[in-house]
Formats: sequence, C-alpha cells, structure tokens
Amino acid sequence: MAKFYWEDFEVGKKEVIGSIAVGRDQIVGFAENYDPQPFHLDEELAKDTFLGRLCASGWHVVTLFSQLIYESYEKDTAILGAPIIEECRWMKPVFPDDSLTCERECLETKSNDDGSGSCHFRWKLFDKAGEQKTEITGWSKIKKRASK
Amino acid sequence: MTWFEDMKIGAQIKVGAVVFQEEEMIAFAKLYDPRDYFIDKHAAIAGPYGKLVASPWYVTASWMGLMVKNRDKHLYESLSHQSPDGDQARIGPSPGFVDLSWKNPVEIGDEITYSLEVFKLIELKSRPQWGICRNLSIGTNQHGKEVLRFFGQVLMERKPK
Repeated sequence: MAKFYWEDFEVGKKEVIGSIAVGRDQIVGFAENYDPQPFHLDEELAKDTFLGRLCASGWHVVTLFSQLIYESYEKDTAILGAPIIEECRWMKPVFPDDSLTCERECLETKSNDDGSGSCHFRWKLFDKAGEQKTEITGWSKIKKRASK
Repeated sequence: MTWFEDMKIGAQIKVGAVVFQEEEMIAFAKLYDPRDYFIDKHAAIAGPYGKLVASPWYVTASWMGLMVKNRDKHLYESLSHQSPDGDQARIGPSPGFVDLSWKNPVEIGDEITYSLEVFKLIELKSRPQWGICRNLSIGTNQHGKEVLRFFGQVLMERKPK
C-alpha cells in the first residue's frame, strides 16, 4: 500500500532526500563489468587520462542515484514504471570513499487522463564537501490517489 | 581508438546483442538497483510491471559494457578515413546524456540488440585538444520493440599538431 501519490508532490518544494556512500571497491567492481575505461579501473591507469584520477563511472553514479531515490521515497510511492530522464550532467568526477547527498526539487506537475499524473523533478547530487557532482532532470509517472 | 578528426556523422558501432538471463538480471539489481520488483518474482507481480523485469539501469549498463569492448576493436563503420596512429588517440569521459527513455521493459530471455550512431561533432574552444562526439544509442528486443534510447556524448582526443 503506497504512502505517496501524485497529489502529494508540491511544485517548488526543494528537499534533501538522503545520502549514499561511494567505495573504491564498488567503483572498480562496477567498472570492470560495465564501464572498463582506465579512469574507472585503477589509480595508475587513470593518471594519463583526461580525469587524472580514479573515479566512478557516470553510469555507476546514476545507479547510486536510483538507489537513493528508491530508499528515500520511491519505495513508498505509487510509481508507474521507470522515469524519463530529460538530462543528466556529469559535472564533476565522483572519487572513491566519498558520499553523495541528493536534493530533489519538484519543478512542475501535470495531470494525465489515465488515473496518473507526472512530476518533473530536478535532482542534484553533492559530495561530502558540498560540491555538486551531478544534475539529473526527468519526469516520474505516479498514480493519483483519486483514482483508487 | 580513433582521432576526433576521423569521426564522421553517420559513423556506427555495432555495439552487439545480449540475452537477458534471470540470474544476471537479479545479480545486477541486488548490487546496483535493489528494488523488490527487480529481485523477487513474487514481489514483482504486485509491482509496476506485473512481473520480474530488468532494471532499466542494467539495460543501459549492458549497452555501455558492450560498447566500450567493441569500440576498442575499431568497429566504427562508415568512416571514410582512419589514421594509422589512431590507436594512440585517447577517449575522455562523458559530460552526460539527454532524453533517456526505456519504452518497453526487458523480460527474462529477451534478446536486446544495441546500436550507436554519431549524429554531431563539436569542437571545443575551451579545450582545443578535445572534441565532443554526440551519439544516438538504441536498444531493441527480438520483437523489434524499443527498450532503450538516448543521446550520449563522449570526449575524443584531437590529432596533435
């Protein structure tokens, strides 16, 4: 039984929704299978690359984002399927042994004809020092409470 | 790899195809996207898809893993020219992507074929050693239905002067 429905999301509301840790072993483990580029695999190999240091694959960062939003509110929300990601900007690299904190802002909501509504969100990910690393905007489709 | 200058609009990578197996779908989800409807068949019945499906990020990560592997094999097609020293060209990170959607879920046993096509090449005034290559990436299942679509981009090294 969901707690949150489309009507519960307020336009203009900005809130910090949670944090997740980023470990070195996780970074390398993900990269070995899904993004085997030198700057995601090994500190030595990373030195001669554009980024110069070992950092997380952007695709790993988005899975951390997905985990964060699920734990903080999506698991209690009547979400319908996957979001549509309008834009993802990998602004700065995410280094090992850091953490990512997510701030969510609701930009817009839209009623649909099928018993659902859509919410336009901007999610920002910041590291431990408060520097923004990633920005994602997208649309989530959520059931209306009124359609129950 | 390939120098930025040797890239051409319309160049393609045959990224490859993969059959999505239940065990691997669940293993990825447990590590990287632990939603109950990606991990447990019974929980998935009550979930948004009505059955166990692959995490959309697994559908995307599978594309990425295959693409990096095949890119290194010089599988760009439709390039009119490839410099002999192209293997010295470095690839940089991606600044991001736009318009990512997963129109249809990927179910156990689906075979997904991925493709990538270059659609824009951008010189960078701020970083003259690098250019940006923008690509359209698509994944389709065995029924021809689209499961993945997005516009990605990557930094590519320019030929040294």
